[in-house]
Amino acid sequence: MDWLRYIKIGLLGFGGGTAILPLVERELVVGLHVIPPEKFAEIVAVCAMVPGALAANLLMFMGYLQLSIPGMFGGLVAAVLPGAVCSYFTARSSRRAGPDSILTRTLMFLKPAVAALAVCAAIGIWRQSISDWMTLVLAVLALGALKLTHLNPALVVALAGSTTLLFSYLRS
Amino acid sequence: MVPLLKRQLVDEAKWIGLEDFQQCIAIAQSFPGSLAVNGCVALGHYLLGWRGAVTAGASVLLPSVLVVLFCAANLPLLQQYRAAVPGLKAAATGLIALGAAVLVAPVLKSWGLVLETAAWLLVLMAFRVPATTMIVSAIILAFVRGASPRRVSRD
Repeated sequence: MDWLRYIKIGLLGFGGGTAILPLVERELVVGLHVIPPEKFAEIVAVCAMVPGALAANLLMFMGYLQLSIPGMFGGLVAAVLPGAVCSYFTARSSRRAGPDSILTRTLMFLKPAVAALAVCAAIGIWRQSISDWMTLVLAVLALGALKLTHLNPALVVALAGSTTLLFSYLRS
Repeated sequence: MVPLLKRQLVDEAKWIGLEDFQQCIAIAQSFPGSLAVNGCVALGHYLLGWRGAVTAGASVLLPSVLVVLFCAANLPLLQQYRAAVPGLKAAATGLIALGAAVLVAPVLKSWGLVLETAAWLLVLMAFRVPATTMIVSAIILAFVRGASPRRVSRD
């Protein structure tokens, strides 16, 4: 059942938007063929530009592509609900998750794996996106802008998109 | 998103103190899914119990739902802007690289952690273990280590 894959992502997607990308790629792109692999980077870019969390946006989009509006809400729920429910109950039960609690320690030991996932995602997107000097320059500039200024990430992505749009317009 | 939340809730509206805010964010980071949603659920709960949690969670998702609906409904219109895609992808690469750097930074503190990260990376990229398998094993290992009694340091 398709939903199982979305729920898998919702349950295993530790580390946030960046770290879930390899998971989404494996489950939905390679596994379910929701979109062709070349399009994955494109969809991720659009979802990064759109307001809201990358993870939620991405899974909503994928869900929509599979099953229209119900699919969108299904993707959303599968992605967001497990973590949100856990967060709610943790917030309710303990005002403080102590530094020595099993939860905190487990999370601490999970950091290297999450870091590896994030690096893997970055490399994957890099391979799919950087094809010429312009994309390289834009990627570096975007990184600089995000790190050094307080510009909204959505704005940075939109500016980069406008740049290539402009160039292609000028070229024709 | 976290700096934005902090500015709005802690600094300007003064609805929550910094320590409690950080505690909510720490909870949000501990669980899968979206940090934004988890964080807002935890913060909403702090402010107004279960009603706050539900409202905050739904609110942070609402713009996403609207925009995805808009994009999906207007795909033919958006196709005209195909030339923007390479730029979008390039910027997204920068964004994701930054996200990766943020997650990698805590891991650079010791050679042991660096080697462990490299090992996981090898598992993912060279041995091509599926991400799901890798994450499940990582969680199990982390839990085993987290739940085992702490070693008492010898004097």
